[in-house]
Formats: sequence, C-alpha cells, structure tokens
Amino acid sequence: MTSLRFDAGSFRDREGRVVYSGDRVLRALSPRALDAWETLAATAFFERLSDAGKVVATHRVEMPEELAAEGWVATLEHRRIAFVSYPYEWSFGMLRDAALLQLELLRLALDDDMILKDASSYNVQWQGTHPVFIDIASFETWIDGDPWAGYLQFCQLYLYPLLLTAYLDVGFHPWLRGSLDGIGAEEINRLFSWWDRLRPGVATDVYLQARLQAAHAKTEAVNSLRQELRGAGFRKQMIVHNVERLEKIVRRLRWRRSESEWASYTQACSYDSEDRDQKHHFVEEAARRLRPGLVWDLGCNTGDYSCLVAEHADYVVAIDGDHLAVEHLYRRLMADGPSNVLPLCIQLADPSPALGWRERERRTLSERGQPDLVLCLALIHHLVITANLPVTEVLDWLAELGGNLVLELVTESDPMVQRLLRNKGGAVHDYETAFVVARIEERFEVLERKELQDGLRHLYLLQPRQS
Amino acid sequence: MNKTHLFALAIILLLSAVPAHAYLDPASGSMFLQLLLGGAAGVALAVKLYWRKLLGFLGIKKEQDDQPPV
Repeated sequence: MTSLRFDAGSFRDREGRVVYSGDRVLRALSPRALDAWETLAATAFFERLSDAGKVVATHRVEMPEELAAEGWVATLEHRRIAFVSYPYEWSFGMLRDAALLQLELLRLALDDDMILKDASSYNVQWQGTHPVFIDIASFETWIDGDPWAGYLQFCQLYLYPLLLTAYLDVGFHPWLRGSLDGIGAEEINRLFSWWDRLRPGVATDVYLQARLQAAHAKTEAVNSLRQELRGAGFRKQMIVHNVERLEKIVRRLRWRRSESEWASYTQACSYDSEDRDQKHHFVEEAARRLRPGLVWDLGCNTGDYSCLVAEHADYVVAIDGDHLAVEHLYRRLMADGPSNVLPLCIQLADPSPALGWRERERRTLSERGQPDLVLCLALIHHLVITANLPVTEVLDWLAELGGNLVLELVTESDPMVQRLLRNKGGAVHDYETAFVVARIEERFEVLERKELQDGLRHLYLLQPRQS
Repeated sequence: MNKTHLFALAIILLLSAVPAHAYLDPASGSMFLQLLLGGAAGVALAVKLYWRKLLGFLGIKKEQDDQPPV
C-alpha cells in the first residue's frame, strides 16, 4: 500500500483522523468513533443523505497496518472532494446554503437520537454548487439531557458572518480569514445598533449570547451547568426548537446589494459580439483540444468562460475577487448549471494563505491542486497596473502553476488600460506590449496566437517551458 | 420576537448587569441560552434552575428559601 500521510488540519477531534494514501482519502477511527459510525451507518436518514450527495460517500475498508499500529481500530474511505475550499472563499449564498445543510443534518440526526458534536463550516465542502458534509466523525449518539455543544460554533462560523453581510452589508471574508474560530459574540454585538436588535437573530443569538457569556464568566460553578441541565430535565425537543428557529432565520437572510445590482451587473459586462464570438471559439477550442482535468478560471467575473470550458473539463474552479460577481455566478450555476464549476471569492493579488496551528490547518490556494489548464482572460493588466505587481512576477506565478495557459493580453493602447493608467501618472513602466510579449515568450512556448479588436487584445494558448 | 423571547430577554437583562473580565467559559453561556431559545418548556426550565439566583439578585428571598415556582 502507498505510504500514509495524516491531514495536517484534522487533529482536534481525538476520536478520528483523516489520512491520505495516494489519491485515497481515509479516516482512522477510535473505538468510540467506530461505535458512532456503526450506529450512524444503520440509520435510514444517513442512507438518504448519502444517496442525495449531502454527506460524502463513505464506506468501511480494511485497515492499513500502520494505522493499527497506532492504536486505531477501524478505517473508513471517503470519496475525494475535487477541490477543497474554505468558508472565507465562499459567497454569501454559499455560506447560507452550507448553514442550512448543517442544520438539516442536525435535525435529521436528532430524530434518530444522534447529534453532531460540532458545527464548523470547515466540515462542509462543495461538489460544484452542491454543499457536501464531510466530517462523518462529527455524528455521535445523543446523550439524554445534553444540550447542543455546537450551537456557539454555529453562531461564530455561520450565523454571525451571514448577519454581518445581510444586515450591515459588510463582507465576512476578512473576518473568517482573520480567525479560524469565526466571529465572537461580543465582537459582533458591538457592531449592531439598538435598532438592529429588532432584526431576526440579533437580540436572541447575538445580544443574549454576548450578555450570557459575560454573566457566566462571573459564576464559579460553570462546569456543573451540563450536569444541572441533565438533572433538571433538558429535553431533545428544546434543541429541535432552537434548530428550527435558526433554520427560519437563516433561510430568510438576504444580501440586499446582490439582489438590487444583479441586473445592471450582467449588462455592464457585455462585449462586442463579433470579438466575443472569436474569443469564445479560441477558448473553447483550447479546452476541447487539451481535455483538462482541473481548470482554474482566474478573474472569472460572472463565469461565462468557466461555463464554456466546463463541458470539456472534469472540474472548473472559477475565481474572482469581486464578491458580488461570485455570488451571481453561484446563483446562475444553481439555476442552469453546469454542475462541475466551483465559484470562489479570492483576491489573486492576496490569495488565501496557510492558516491555523503551525500554519498547516488550512492550505494555500496553490497547495490544493495543480490546474491542467488556466484561463487568465483580461486579468493581468489589473494585477500589474491596479495591484502594482511587476509583470515578470505575474508571469512567473502563472508559469509555476504548471498547466497550459489561455492568456488574454489587453495592450496598453486599449481604452480599458488607458483608463487604469490615467490615475497612475505614468508610474507603470513594465506594461508595454513588446516588453510583456518578450517576457511571455521567455517563460512559455506559444502554441497559438490570435489578435482581437484590431490588435488591441491578444489571445495566446501557452505551455510553460521546462525550467 | 415572540413572548417567550421577550421574557427571556427580561431575565437576562436582570442577570447580566455587569460585564465580566475574569475567566471566560463561553460554552456555558451558550448552553443556558439554549434553554431560553428552546421554546416555552426551555424557558420554564431556565426559571426553575435560576429561581434562587433571580430572587437573591432581586433581594426578595434569602438563599435557604429556594423552592422553584410550580
């Protein structure tokens, strides 16, 4: 068997651990986790959820000797997720749908006297626009009288980020990227006015939560509360009531700006039809010819080209730094497909870093999969001029990604580039077409080339030269 | 916000008049909140559990008289 590699982000739950064996994703189980798995696997709700693709397809496999030697007692195998993503890369609608999945699983588990021991949004991944719950070891038998231990975590990693965007029109991405534990109750409570407390979820889940944290910090016998609740008759129905209440709140949350700007956004992004057709043809032919496994569409905007190449690829990761564009792409994919496109909100000049304990819990963007084909259409002038990245840096990075590259170079004479340069006062010395083309040819072999809009825009199909 | 929540809010305002700075166990606050958000039965249980504390806080009863409301 191929040698095993433990997932560096899977260690907090001592009852199970994710292990990689080549391309396979395994999960080692403790005796207690094995009991929980056997209970779960026998339930009807788990079978239904697996069939619907709402939980990751999982089956028990023979245990590798190395795991037995470490004291694990059983091994599960999970279907591999095509591309791992994190909540600080999702759009508002994605986080909301992941939250609803989390609550649905909890409600169904409670019907069968099981519960989810935590409520981390990192336990949800995506198959295109379908959220998939991956942390099977999170299910355990509910102990009569126990409250829902994951409620606070649900608030910090789902509800508060959603409220931040829905009620205050503030993006949650920097908050979630800034703290893997999410947003604290006291922190978000300070952002809401008294008027906001009339809105669903603010008085109950934010204000009361923050006040109770403060109140319980004063009491000495905090550890006995769980015992007290059990003794006093805490009932499952109380958790169900809370979960149904949260489902109602989350389902009604809307990001109003995305609703109002939707129509104008698509209109503003339209192109001249003849050039658009030629560009479509060039990009589609490249994908048809190369038949890539994984495609990255960098600066995807509303995802026209992601959808175009999806038919010829296994999976497309559509990346843009504009939250609104990604949210609209998510909705468009939900409505019309295709089903193999994952939209992500990432600023390419400041992409997702390694985060967490020993900087290994969450991986960088480039550590999560190497693209076979990269689309970089009308993007590099933004990176070079707006984000002030040297053109050689940008091209080095694109070459290091390792895949073939469809590059649209918008020359310095193009009106869009002129507009960007106007405010720079001539300070961008390296965005000059002959210079850029020479730097491209140093790093890539040109497989195809085409000029559009009377030479103002160049399309290339490139292959990185072996370094 | 329904009547249950308003009642819960009133209880919490009474119980949490002073912000704390010491050791923080946020999970226990969250556990108690689940009573208040667990419907009428949850609120009744919260009142039962915190009856003595509530009366003590209001200065109505001494600690030995801690019979919960029926």
